[in-house]
Amino acid sequence: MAGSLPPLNRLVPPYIQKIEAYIPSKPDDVLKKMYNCPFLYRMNNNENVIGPPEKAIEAIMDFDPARAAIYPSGDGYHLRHRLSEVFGLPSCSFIIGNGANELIAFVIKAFCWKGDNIITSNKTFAVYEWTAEFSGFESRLVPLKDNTFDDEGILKRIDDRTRVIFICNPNNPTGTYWNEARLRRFLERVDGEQIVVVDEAYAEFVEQPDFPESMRLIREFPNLVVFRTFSKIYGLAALRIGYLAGDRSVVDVIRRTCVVYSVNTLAQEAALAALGDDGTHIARTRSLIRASKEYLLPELDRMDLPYISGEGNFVMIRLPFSDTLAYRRLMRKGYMIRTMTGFRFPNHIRVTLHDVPVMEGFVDALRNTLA
Amino acid sequence: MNIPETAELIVPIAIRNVPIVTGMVEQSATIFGLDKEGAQNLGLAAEEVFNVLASAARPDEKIRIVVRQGGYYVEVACYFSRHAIPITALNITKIPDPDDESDIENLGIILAAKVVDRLQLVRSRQGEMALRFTIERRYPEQAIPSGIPPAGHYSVGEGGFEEIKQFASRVSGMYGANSPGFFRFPGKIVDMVKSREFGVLLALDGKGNVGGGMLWKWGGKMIDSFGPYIFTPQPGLVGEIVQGVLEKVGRKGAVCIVNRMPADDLLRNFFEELVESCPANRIRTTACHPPLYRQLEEDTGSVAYVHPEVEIFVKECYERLVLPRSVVATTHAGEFIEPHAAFGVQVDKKQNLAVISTIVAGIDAEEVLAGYVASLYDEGITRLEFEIDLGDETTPVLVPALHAVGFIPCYVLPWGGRGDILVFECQGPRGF
Repeated sequence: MAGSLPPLNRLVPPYIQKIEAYIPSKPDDVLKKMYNCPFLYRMNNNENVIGPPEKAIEAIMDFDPARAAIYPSGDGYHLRHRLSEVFGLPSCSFIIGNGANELIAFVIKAFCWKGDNIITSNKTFAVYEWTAEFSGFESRLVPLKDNTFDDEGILKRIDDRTRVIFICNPNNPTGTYWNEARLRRFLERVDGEQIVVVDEAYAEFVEQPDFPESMRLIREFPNLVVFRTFSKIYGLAALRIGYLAGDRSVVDVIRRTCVVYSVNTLAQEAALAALGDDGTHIARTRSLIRASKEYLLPELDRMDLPYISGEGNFVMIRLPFSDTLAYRRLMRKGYMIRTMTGFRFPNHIRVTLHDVPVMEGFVDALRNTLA
Repeated sequence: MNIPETAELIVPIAIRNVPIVTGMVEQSATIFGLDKEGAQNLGLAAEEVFNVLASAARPDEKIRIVVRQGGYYVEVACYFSRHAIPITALNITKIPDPDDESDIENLGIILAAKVVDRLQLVRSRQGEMALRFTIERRYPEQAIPSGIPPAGHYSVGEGGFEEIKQFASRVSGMYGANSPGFFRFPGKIVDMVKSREFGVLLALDGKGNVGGGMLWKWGGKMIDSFGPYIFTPQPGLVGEIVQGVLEKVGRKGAVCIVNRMPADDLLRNFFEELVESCPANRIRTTACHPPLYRQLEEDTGSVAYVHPEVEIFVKECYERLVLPRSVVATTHAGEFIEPHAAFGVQVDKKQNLAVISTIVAGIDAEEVLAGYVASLYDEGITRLEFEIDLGDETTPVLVPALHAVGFIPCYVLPWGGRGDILVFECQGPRGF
């Protein structure tokens, strides 16, 4: 080594020193070897087991490898214009991101500075909280009420340093959601004083008629920012692409913090093609989820296992022992579930719904694990 | 006025700087809240340690001394480069030979260890050596509340300082020797929590009564927990407390949580029994003391480096715990090994327990370990454990030395160090 190590204790800010790095899971082939399992069903990340829509698959297959040498559109030009047509908002109201994680960072960077805070729930997608904390901002965590975001609790925690409120709707991992009336009431109470981000990663799975049409609400509530992703129902998780929508003046501020060129061409074109699906893909997916739940939930009842099943392609199950032990036992049998201790639901697992034959195998494995 | 939490001094490791070091440590300790006697003892320890280091240091080496306010204690950490001091000078428990003048300096570290509450040699993340010693503030014992708290509806919460004190007093009163000694000092528990090195979750009735609770110590990858302690027979309260604690710690980046003195059987609904992972335990007459254990994250596997003498034992442990591990048996193939070994020791006098770990695996490990075992037994410590980090490929070479000195493998503590920890227990000194 040419020189001595830098004085990390002094160079690293205190709020980074206290954070442990997130270590992502190992690739499937490595995990299969480690656990010595004959096959591996991914039931941990709520991916769409059907895969992408036909048109997106065609776009991926037709991609000319020579174009890999060319930089992508820096701001997802064509995709923004297509989203504009779909949702009736100006194209400048959209920002395309390398998955929702990047968009969360853009929003926090745009609106928070030293001493500010964000508010979200204690039992929801972790990245809102993490991004705020490793950026040096306070995360105010309001406990769920009846497994749902607690609007009154959130309103009580707002102060003059609150900049952004993150609502996951439907909530991951409980699947509960605010209907349009409730979201509207909340936005009225906030009265435009804070940015309200509604993360709708699982919106396309919801079949309930009272689910909010948030894109339309943006016109009424310019402080509302909506997140969507192509990673879930559109089956493009590997390509990492999502977007946010908001009032053009708010989005203009967020755009100042964007890392342009972060979304690759293949992702942009696959997403564009996915939006061209005639509805067949979403209908197929919803049908699979319904059938899967209709099979799984009675089986869980028979095993006396409590569960939380709301909107989305997942079910959360409570076990009579450690979820991390369950993970290891189920991995041995080829089923990779998500442990929920990190979501502050200890002894719970979250299971991504597959088609019924796979779920039958999972139920057998779960039953053996309990024995 | 804001009092800083640390004071730092960087000086050449030379005898002439002893007064500067001693003065700085004593003054900082006073500012950081130690009483006169405590500050003087910390200064004395600093003087003894610095003298030892200065007499052994290579020329032109520097030392960084950091005095830190830990809330309920003041810590002095001396950081120096791995090559600044000969390893033999850091052999903390080595008994100096009075007939050997070159050995007299070691007496300094022994003296230092006698006047402080903890003294530990560690290797920092940056590869530096660090000699750390602390003195705790003195706290009064408080009267134990009589009777059990009134019946009512208790729910979990963090509580205020008075409730934390009540919790500590009740633990001490109801659990006595089955709880750690620090619960006898409620003010200390408050300062431990205020320092943010510890967390606490209580069962509260909203009327100032505490029905139970649990305490834990943050510690990087591994969290140590204490409890759950229950003072009122409310159904479901244990589960609520344990679940609440796991919710508090589950998203903080720690990999696992352990409990070395479980105070309620229901903890087993949330934790795992490492004792079941210990095949040898069934045939042994002396019980080892594995903690209850729980992973907080999904285990995606790792490599474990083991000596062939313990390979089967370790593999059986992994099989029982369903842990995905690539076990690599390592053998010495003539590669360079440090001539001198150094070990870190943590002593818990109340439990008569000493835990030894590796700082440097060296050729003279057996001799040095034998010295450690002898001096620890002389000090009245009857339970000796040795921890080998299976994530460190340089440590399996120590296994024959451990066997020779009387240590046998006891259990595997997953993710207890860089990788898993293989814990050995000493069956008694050999040849003393």
